[in-house]
Amino acid sequence: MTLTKSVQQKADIIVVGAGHAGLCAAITAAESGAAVLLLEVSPKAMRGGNSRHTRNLRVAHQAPTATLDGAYSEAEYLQDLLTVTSGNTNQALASIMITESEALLTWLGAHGVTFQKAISGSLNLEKTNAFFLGGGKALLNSLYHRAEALGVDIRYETEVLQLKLCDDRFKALSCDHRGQRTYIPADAVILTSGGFQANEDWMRSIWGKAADNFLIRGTPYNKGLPLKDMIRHKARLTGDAKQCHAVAIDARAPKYDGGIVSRLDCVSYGIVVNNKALRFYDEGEDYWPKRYAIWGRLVAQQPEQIAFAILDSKTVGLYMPSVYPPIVANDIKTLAGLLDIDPFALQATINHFNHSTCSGEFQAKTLDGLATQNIEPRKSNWALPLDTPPYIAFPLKPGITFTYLGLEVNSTANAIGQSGKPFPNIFAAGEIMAGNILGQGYCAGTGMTIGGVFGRIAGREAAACL
Amino acid sequence: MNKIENLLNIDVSSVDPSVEADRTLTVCNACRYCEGYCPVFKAITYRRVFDNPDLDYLANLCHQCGACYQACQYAPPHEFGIDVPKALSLLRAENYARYAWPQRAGKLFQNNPTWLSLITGLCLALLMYLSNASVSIDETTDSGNFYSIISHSVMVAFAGLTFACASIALVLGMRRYWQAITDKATPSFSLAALNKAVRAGLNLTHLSKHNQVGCPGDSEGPSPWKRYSHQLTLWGFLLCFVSTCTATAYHYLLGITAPYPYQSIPVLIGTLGGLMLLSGTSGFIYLKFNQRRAMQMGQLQLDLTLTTSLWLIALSGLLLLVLRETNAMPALLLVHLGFVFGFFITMPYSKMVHGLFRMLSLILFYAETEDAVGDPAGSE
Repeated sequence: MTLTKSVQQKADIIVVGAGHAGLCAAITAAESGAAVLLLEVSPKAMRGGNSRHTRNLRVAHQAPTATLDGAYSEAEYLQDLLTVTSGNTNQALASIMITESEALLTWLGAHGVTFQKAISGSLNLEKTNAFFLGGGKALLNSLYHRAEALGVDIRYETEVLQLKLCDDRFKALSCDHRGQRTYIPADAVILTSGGFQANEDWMRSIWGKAADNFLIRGTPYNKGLPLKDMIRHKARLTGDAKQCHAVAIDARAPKYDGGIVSRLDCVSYGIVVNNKALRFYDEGEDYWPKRYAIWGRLVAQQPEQIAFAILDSKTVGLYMPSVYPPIVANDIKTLAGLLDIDPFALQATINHFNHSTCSGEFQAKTLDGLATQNIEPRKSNWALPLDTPPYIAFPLKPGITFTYLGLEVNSTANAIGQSGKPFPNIFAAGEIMAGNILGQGYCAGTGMTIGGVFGRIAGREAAACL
Repeated sequence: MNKIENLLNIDVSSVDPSVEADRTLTVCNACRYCEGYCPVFKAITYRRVFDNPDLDYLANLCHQCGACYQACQYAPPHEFGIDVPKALSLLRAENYARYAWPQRAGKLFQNNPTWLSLITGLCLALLMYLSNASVSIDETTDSGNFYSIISHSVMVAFAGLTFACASIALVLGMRRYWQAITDKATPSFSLAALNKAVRAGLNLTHLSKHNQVGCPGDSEGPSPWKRYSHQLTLWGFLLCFVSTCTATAYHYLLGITAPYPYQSIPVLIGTLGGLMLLSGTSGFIYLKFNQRRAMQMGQLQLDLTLTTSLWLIALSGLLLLVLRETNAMPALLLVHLGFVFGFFITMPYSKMVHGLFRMLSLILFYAETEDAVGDPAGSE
């Protein structure tokens, strides 16, 4: 704490991180009459953390709404959640999130966020997920607009370095704005600063050198400093410190912020090889939406953290257009040359794979059971031989969406100490505590629901302790 | 090899607008977060790759409301530097010249819109003045009588000739555009689709939908003021046209010759139209200079030339009405008519064509929407 150069006037509540959760917290606290300071590490043009790249939130509802088809009961929601997390979920917190989800949808609407009309065919999400019109950045713009109108003091390019606590009570924090260190006291703090996937040192400490080859799908600003500082203050943690949500994405994507356009969904219809031209996992194990989240880890385990999806021209049109053009060649060896892998090895792998395929009916949209025989690893569905040029390849790298490690919280969003006692005026919402509910796996749109519901709770509770 | 990477560090304004529009919409088609905004984002889901007429069609569907730019996670300073309204605006400007008939005139005008408009207007005024010298004045020379300055037959000849030239060039240019965008597949047309297109076009539905809030001084956020200005301009222009038609009917069918009294139908309609046109174009000019984004959209000179000439036409027309019994009338009349006829003769090459390009694109859009089933949206 000796670094601080200037001391600022006290705020009622400081919110650290201005993504979806931080804005929900800041707006709720400001509406309760608190003077709120919202600190955002990014410049204004890139504000909002990973919420910039989101698109929808998952909402339980009894009847169709303007933005959701059908009904989605709380029980169904919980079941879907427990399926992906294998029970790695604090059910009390999950129930709060689910129960409050519809009220969150209404609240966002009342705060200027617009949603798309119920759309059909979006990975079958029209019943469960409400889509932000224009995506996450449009949602953020509306919430920023509302926060500014409420007089929330928003400071960009301000990185929080350390929290100062006294007997488990938050007293002040130190932050850096373009090299200027400032020390700001407040009555409560709300941490909505996300995970640490963009912290290269931290990632390397877990993954070793492999981390250098990871692409970060979202913001480069999630360094996890507030999380790290809470670990120093002996906060109780949740989620596996060594796990992150990793998707296989196009290897040509930028290191940070590539977002949605770097995704690929072609894996099921071809084979995937590493840079030794060897297959390493069942490409047709299940529907892609149920498998994409394991492929990041699979690719991360390969040499140099790179792999190649290889397809032929029979399946063109079955997968989404990618932002990067396919790598195309008329024969396997030329393709291998373009990918910089051993042409003979690739030819051998494909010959072997082709020999293991069986005759049967290929059905792109169902688990067609068209499996290989006598090959390891097997391909359980959609196992067509690769025999129709031109051949097509996409390079794959692990794309990190978020890290699971976070702060344990209670039902009022208070962070909890190792003794089990809550920190009375330290709250957490969003990705930094999502691990309480999403202990592993991912359930589309749940992250934004957690952020919104617990952001509002944190804002309300922080204002109540003034 | 990789068009994203290749274009990352290139100054967009130096790139062929089709190439930049292709790069931009390829990113959009992999993202699709904007699909709820407007027809452009629906129309791209019907396509996997974009060739030139496709891009032209998509460019002209865009109403430049700016909602997608505000929402874009890839907008500058992101390294993809995606700016859909700007990329499509640059391509539209290029389209107006490329599809114009004759193309050479389109290109010539596009390079010097302001000077050409000014010179055309002044030349026509001068020509009328000179023509009149050789024509005997067979009407009375009462004050307020325009025909004492330019004879009725000269006026009719200039009006007829410029209007005919403009109509022919417009029809040929639009036919060229329509053939290009429907070249690959002609969708089945229904009256319902046509009806939707005309309504959406005239209401500017796709300009207004996501811009209900905001004020004219707001340089970044959404604002309904562009639509207000546009509608005043469009309907003001059309009322002026109706006023002229009514006056023509008075002359030929009823045998009542100008000047018409202030409370007559042509004057009432014309005055209302003139006031709307004046306020609408004033609004446009104000917005142009006060919205930072509007200055950067690549059609600045074309836009300003059109709005300024309409503004001048409206102002000179209104002044002419007020001052028609003073000795300022002859000069005002020559200037007003010079610019009106100049406006018509340059119309096939000026920004005025945007309405027709857009209407044709909307017709195709609603037709293909009835036919097509796009790819499903993705999600995170």
